[in-house]
Amino acid sequence: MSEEYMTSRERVLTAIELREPDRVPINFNSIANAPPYGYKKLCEYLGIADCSGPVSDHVDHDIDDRVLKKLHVDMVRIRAGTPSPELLPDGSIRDAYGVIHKMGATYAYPAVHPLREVKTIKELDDCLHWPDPHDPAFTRGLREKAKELRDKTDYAICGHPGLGYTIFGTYANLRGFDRWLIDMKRNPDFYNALADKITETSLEICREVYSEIGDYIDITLYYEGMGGQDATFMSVEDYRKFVKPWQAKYVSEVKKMTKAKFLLHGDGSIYPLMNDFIEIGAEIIDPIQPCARNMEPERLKKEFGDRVCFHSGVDRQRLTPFGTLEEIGEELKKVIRILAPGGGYIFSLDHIHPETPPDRVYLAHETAYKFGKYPIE
Amino acid sequence: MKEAAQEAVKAGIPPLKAVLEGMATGMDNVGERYERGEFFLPELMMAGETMKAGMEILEPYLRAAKAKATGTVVIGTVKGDIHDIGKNIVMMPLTSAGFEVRDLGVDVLAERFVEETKKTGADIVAMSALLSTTIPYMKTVIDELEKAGLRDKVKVIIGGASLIEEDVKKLGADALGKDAITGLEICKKWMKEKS
Repeated sequence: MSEEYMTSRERVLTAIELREPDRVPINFNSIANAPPYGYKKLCEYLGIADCSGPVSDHVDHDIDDRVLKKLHVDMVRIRAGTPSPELLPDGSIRDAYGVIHKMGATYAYPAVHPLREVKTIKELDDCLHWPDPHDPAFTRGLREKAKELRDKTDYAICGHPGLGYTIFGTYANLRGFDRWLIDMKRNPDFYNALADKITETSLEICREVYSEIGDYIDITLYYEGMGGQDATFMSVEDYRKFVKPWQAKYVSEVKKMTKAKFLLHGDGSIYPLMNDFIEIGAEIIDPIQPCARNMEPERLKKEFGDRVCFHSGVDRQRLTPFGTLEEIGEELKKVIRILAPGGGYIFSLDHIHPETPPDRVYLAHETAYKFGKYPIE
Repeated sequence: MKEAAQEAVKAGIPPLKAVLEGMATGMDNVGERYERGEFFLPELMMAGETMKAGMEILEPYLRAAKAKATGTVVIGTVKGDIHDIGKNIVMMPLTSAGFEVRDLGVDVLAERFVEETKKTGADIVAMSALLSTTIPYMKTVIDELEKAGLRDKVKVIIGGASLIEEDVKKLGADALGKDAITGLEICKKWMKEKS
């Protein structure tokens, strides 16, 4: 059993500041964006059949505290509210941006992109649906909740600004993923105008949210899809021209709103962009998928470990779904040995698919807890 | 591209030739440069959109000429998964190579794969999945094809970032398309063997 002498918050901040805490901090990204059945299964496995928990599909906050304790978790998430989506006759929902989400077997997905056929910049002024950043739904009850978490627990608190947590994820939802990429090359004026509009709205939502919780949170969350299994979605040159300027502005503005550390979430093979992320101010990079090209933990720690904190680094493509419990335990120890020395590492399983057997989740957390004591073995 | 397609028609070039020797050459070039890391998704998406524009012009002429498709592929992302980038990428070279591609979309049930295969007399069933936890469902689809008496009438190709070669045998598929170009070559080879 680890000998702990830090609070969870101290542990997490120490790691982010690239110093060794008492043990590797642990996060539980939980069974995100999926129906709660996976979370319920996990609770039953942990002997918490009467677990309280998220009632929405965003199963990444309001986790039962007993679950967090059993999994030795050091971080919690507080998430901004969302204007009530419009329920459509066929059961799909329209969000504040007008994107229509259909429910799949496990996940909802954007099925209708409201700006797909828009051709001119002028039409962007007349969007039928667009969120009002000052909608009280974004911030209702948020400050009280954040204050309570800060006053009554010693968790590190992650602030998720709801719809304000991405720029080009929203662009892709509005125009379609393909048109996001085509727009930047074929219609840069239009691309710039829509990117500006989305960034302005995302930042305005962030302003509303962080004016309520910015004093209480330790980490802010930002998501952007930029990598596939083997490569970045676009060339580095195109990233610097068509993504980075808005990301840089976003990071810079958010850092004026709160002193919290900035976590950038980007899946896949994003190695070619790591220096750029660090340059614009990202302090934690997540999830660093080791099976994606050039994302081996050894490479990342060697090249960037003195400048940025890593979050996760666990293979959720083959190891956690298909590995034996022994293989999982051994591999996680290996990841910790590579990423944890010197601090700069937070353990997490990243998104856990609801089909993942709960014994794996438990084992992974136990391994990180027992093996993550500094100095690392 | 629309003008080029129209000019090809005016010049009397058989529409299938315009596809297989015209657009497919361009698409192959883009695909190879993508595999080499010179092109990325924006270039691929632009090529796809360009090809679609050309096909819009040529399709009526292909139908009128009763041009024979290279083969019919039923493709979808399996139930539980909503990712479709890889699926949409591989559809482009398949189309330009003259395949008729029936896209079932995402989160597709086994029954839907079976129904469409039966309806179209498809030669190939192509399944995509990014999420590892949905990979086992590919076996369900294959089992359903078996139950419907279709398994020995089709070839099954699987694709997705988390798949490895060993999965092919475990799932009862015929091949892994580890990237779009490999997938295309496998499908073309199968159709050649069939003819």
